[in-house]
Amino acid sequence: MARWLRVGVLVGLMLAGCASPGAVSLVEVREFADASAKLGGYAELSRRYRDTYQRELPYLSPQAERLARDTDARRQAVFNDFVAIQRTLVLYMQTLSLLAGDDRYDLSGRIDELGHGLSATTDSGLRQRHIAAYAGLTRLLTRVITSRYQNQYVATMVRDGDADVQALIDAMIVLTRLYEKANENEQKTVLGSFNAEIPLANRNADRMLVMLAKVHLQNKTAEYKLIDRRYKLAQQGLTKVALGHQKMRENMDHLSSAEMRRMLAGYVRDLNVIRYSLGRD
Amino acid sequence: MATPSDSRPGQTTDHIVELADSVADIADRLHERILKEIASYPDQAMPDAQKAVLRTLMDNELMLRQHAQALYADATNHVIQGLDQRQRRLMALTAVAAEQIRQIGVIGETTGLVGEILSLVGGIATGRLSQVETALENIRLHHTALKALKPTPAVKT
Repeated sequence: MARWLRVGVLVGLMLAGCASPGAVSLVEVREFADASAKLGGYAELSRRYRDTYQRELPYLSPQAERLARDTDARRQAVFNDFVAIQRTLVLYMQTLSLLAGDDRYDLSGRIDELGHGLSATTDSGLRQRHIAAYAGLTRLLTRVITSRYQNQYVATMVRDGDADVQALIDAMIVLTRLYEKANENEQKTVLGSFNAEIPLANRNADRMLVMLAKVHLQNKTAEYKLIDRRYKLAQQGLTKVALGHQKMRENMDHLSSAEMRRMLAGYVRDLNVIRYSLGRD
Repeated sequence: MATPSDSRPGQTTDHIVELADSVADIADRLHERILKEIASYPDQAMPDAQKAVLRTLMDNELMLRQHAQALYADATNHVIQGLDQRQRRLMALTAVAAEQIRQIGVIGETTGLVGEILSLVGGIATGRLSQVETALENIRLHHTALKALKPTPAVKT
């Protein structure tokens, strides 16, 4: 009886393997997951946001500096949570990529990376559903990593993970927008000081100072122009990742169809272009 | 990508961001006004007393920007809860204040007004209601005083 049951399970698994055409090759899913995991921008912009105070400091009055220092402490306090979201998403995409691949991998080593939960809950600015999504995704990854199935699990992972993936990406996009606003304000603090002070310096003795200030202003203007682009690129990339994952979720039954493969290949192309642009500056 | 389930906390964040944006906007207007004043002395022969006034206003602009930065941090940190109606009312008033800054003819007169706006924004950020109410009253007084002082401001935008 037990032997028949074993054979039955074995046959069932083989049939499942044959019945699912995507089980053999999910090249586009893997490439999409790889491109999503490699997408840069967010982590770097999070660090830039964390370090706002250091860049603003030379331009602040003592009174403004006191306020800025207080804000700085609050930025420092939540930084780890902000990057933890991204690390989870990257790990999810790397795992999905491995599942969709042809080779068997032992993923159990990755479990340690999931040990770090989000520390702050009330102060961190993450909405309750973002925190729930983080916990949910961690659970799902643990389940997937400890299981022995690979290709067959792609659809399950995409289906079970989609809501949480969407919520985490949403949090990352919201945060990136806020980083962008803080950066714009910083830019006006820095460039604005020069724009007002340079024309005010009219004594002959100030000539050298004015010249140096103009050089500095030129450099700073160029620096901010470059960084401005990165916020938009990062948001575009995150939106593509969210859309691509949503499409996979919606087309789970025919992930290997020509149309779906073409669509995913399109997202991969877009993500690579964005990554290239982010890496170039 | 927001879902109905998070509309409430999401809205709170949005309110904070709106408030921060409007504070940054006041700083922008003040900055424009400062540059305009500087440009009105083509031979760069601005008297020192006038320069001192402008530098005070420039410091005020810096403070406004730091208040905006603090509010953006609040938005990410989600510290401020339930500003709702009070915040909306205050925003309408800060918008009026921003418009005033743009229209005021005598730049020296802005110093007091901007000081009150700073006090107002500081009160909002730290939740000190009495300070907010006093500042609002003073802004109203300033508004009336300025109108009496300069019935037809010559500045065009």
